[in-house]
Amino acid sequence: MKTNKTLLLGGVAVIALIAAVQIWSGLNQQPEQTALAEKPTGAPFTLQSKEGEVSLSDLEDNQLALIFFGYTWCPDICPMSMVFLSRALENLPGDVRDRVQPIFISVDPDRDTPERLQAYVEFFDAGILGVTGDKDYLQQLASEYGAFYRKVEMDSAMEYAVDHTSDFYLATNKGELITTLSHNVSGNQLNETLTKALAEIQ
Amino acid sequence: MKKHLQLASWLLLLVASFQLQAMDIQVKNPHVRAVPPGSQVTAAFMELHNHGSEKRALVDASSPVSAAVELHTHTEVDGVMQMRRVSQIELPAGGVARLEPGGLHLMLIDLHSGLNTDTQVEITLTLDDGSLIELNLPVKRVHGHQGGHQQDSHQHH
Ligand SMILES: [Cu+2]
Repeated sequence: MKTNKTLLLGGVAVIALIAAVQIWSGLNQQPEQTALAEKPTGAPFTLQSKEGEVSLSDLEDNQLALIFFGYTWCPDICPMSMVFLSRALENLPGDVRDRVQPIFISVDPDRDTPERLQAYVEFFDAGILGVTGDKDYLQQLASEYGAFYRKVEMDSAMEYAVDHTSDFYLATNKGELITTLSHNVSGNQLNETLTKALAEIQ
Repeated sequence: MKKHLQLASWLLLLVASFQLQAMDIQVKNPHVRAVPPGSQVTAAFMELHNHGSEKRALVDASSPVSAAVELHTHTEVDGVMQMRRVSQIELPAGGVARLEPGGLHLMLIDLHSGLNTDTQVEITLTLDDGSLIELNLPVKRVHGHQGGHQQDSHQHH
């Protein structure tokens, strides 16, 4: 009888253990990446720059916005993308160039104040607007463009990094996403896409 | 006297072998990315050629210009760029490790001051055998109108 009780207790313990392990591994499953909108369509937005509020609707009807989501502590991908962008824009004929407004949206408002952003974008000398805003607003906006980012704690003097997609989004002043350009795009491809899209809205 | 000579030659040999070891690693095109004023971080790039017959690893780095220098890598997972710290960078025997934009890099964190393109940045690399490599890296602006020549323009995008 005594043995039976021990067996029973043992059995209960084993079952409890299995259950615990299952729950634990369930909790530890990789969270699904923030679901991207099925087909991102873009969205209008108003964000803060050093000079004040910036809205997509500030652009003329015959202008397009070339949008990039990043953060200034990004040592590599973001500056590389900005350099690439400014060089590609330099190669456009002046009248076409004037109709493209590059916008750098910082998704790290904790570190990137509008002042800091201003110094950052000026460095690239391409008339880039540096803007940021409220965290929830940014998260929502990014998903509407099909951009993804997340803060990741790091065992580092940086404390955290921001994982992020690094594409360019071409949008109208109404916030309609025309196309997404991979960061692997060539300067020629970018120019072709811009020229074509601009011709269509002329 | 003879004994002294012997000792001296032994010492010489010892020193020579240490130097040889350090010389097995050749550093090519080291440079630091110029960053906008006020930036707290930047990255350093280079090629590390291991001409020796033993594998080595880069395990640490330091610099007087920043509070920390870390070994980092970038990987792209489903279109998402992820920067992570790595504990070491392998230098295979007869091989090369490339620290280049979009991939492995030295991350300079908490810069004490802005880095101008006319400054040189001292960086000391520590290898897994304890040997040190002292470097003076130019700061290169990857973009500039004033005849600036883009340094990492090679296909990097
Ligand atoms: Cu890094």
